[in-house]
Amino acid sequence: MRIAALLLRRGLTFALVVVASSLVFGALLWFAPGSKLGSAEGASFVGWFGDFWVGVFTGDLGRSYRGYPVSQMVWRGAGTSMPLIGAGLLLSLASGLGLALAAGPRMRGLSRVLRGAVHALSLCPVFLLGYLALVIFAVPPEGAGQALAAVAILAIGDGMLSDVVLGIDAELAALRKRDFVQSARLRGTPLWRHYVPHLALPLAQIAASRMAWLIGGVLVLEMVLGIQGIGLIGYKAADSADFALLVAITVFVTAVVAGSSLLVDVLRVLVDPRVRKDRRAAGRP
Amino acid sequence: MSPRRSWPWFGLVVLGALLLVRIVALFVHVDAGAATDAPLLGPSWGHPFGTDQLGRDVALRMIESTEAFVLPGLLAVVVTLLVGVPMGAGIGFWPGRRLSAAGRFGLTILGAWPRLVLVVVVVAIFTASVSDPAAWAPLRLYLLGFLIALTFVPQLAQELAERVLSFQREQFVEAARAHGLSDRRILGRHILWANCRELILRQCCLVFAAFLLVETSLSYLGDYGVPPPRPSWGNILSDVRSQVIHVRSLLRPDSFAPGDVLAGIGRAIDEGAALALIAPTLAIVLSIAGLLALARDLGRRANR
Repeated sequence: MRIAALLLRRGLTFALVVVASSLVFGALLWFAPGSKLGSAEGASFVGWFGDFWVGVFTGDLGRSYRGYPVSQMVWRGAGTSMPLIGAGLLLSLASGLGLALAAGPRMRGLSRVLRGAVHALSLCPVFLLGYLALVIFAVPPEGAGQALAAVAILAIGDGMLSDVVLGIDAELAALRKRDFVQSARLRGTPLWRHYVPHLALPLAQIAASRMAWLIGGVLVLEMVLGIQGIGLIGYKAADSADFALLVAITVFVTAVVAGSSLLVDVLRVLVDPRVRKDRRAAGRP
Repeated sequence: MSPRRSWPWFGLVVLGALLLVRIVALFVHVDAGAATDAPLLGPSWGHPFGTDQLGRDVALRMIESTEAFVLPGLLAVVVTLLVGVPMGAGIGFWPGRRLSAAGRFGLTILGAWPRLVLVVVVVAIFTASVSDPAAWAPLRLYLLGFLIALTFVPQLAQELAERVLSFQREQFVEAARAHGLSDRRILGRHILWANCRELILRQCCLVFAAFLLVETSLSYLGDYGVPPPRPSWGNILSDVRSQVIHVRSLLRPDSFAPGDVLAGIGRAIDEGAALALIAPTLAIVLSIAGLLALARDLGRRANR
């Protein structure tokens, strides 16, 4: 019962956040002077807002400025971008975990040099990495090579890998002091087996907290490399004042970011038994 | 925090250098779009970083680029402070009030908006709605600063609220209450100033770094950043984009012997204006690295 109530509460918050964001962005785009959304004869904002949400569930969001169906464009863009984001996220978490585990509690020699190199590379903005990849590696304009480069850049750039490594480092430092790790060390069992289950939740949290950055990164990267994803479509929609398309993309992106934090909370409730007993342990007051 | 060292001095040097260069930029002001020499020159005493393909001095453009982010970045810092600190402190100090609950919900909504998407949407609306976009373009950076600040408010406020809340049951707060100090004084002086300074300053560094990152990214993409011909580290890079293939061909060494590789790099710098590519890259990376080093050191001090 307790779990169901918690999950319901979080789900409601998620829905409220998405609806409220669509209200804010819709109003911004509707009431902006010179807006094409609000210029139609006899149209009202409330009516448009209702139509928009009916459209979200029926899959008919009207047509873009150039006459293409909006929902189809959003789906196609998301189908290109979301796998890139997901793969980038996984790659970043996996390599961050590997780097943190390999380095050990005291960083010396090679792992220290490696860590410095990782931070330096990770501090580069995504556009810079994309640009350098074009200059140095001559990334092809389409196909697997391009996708691979995009995933690698998303996994590293804008401080992504740096954030992941530092986050895991802090978690590991706390874990190493715990009794069960000490006793595992004394027994001589491989330590990573004990680390990994305890790191699952923090990893998911880091992933969710980076989601907003990743969306921004994918927008820039698609522009630089010329990938027809949701970022490029959104940027062009903004450029040509195609507000119907822009609202749909903005709401979609907000739902992705809010949804990933919802997912982490659901995971937390399912994984962590303390949450069921004590609401404070749920992290959100 | 992890037990590793941080380099606060590096951060302070970078920050100082940025401010200094911004002041220098006040005095070297030249017509940003005008050619000063032949295009694509290598480095010389007259042009330390060479010239770009329109014959503009790259070093001067590098210096002037600080105009694009120092003041708007500081605006972003100020706005984050003005909105985020009262919100975070209020939510943390009076967690039960209805206003606090509303504030928390507002933060959740703001936190779900990706920075770059918000910026692009709002700037697109403004560009579409102003009658004279050219006259308005220089102000765009300040709007950018304001928007970046908004996206950092949840981060600062939530962190601050958590911390202020955790101080509620500390003895020094109870002692101050017992002495009859007002809530305002306890919150302002004993909690915020004495115990949350570093945490707030840390967020300031992060906001500034994020502004630099977003500004250079947007300027590189072209439509929403610094309006050309005004320079930015981002658009200096995109201006030499047409040189990329040429630089690549010059870089290609005859063999991978160290001498040949060095000769290739030398060729690229002399004939291909590769410095116009290297200088902004290094400037961006060093600036962000410095600011983050400072932020990291402050984070460590805050948690001590």
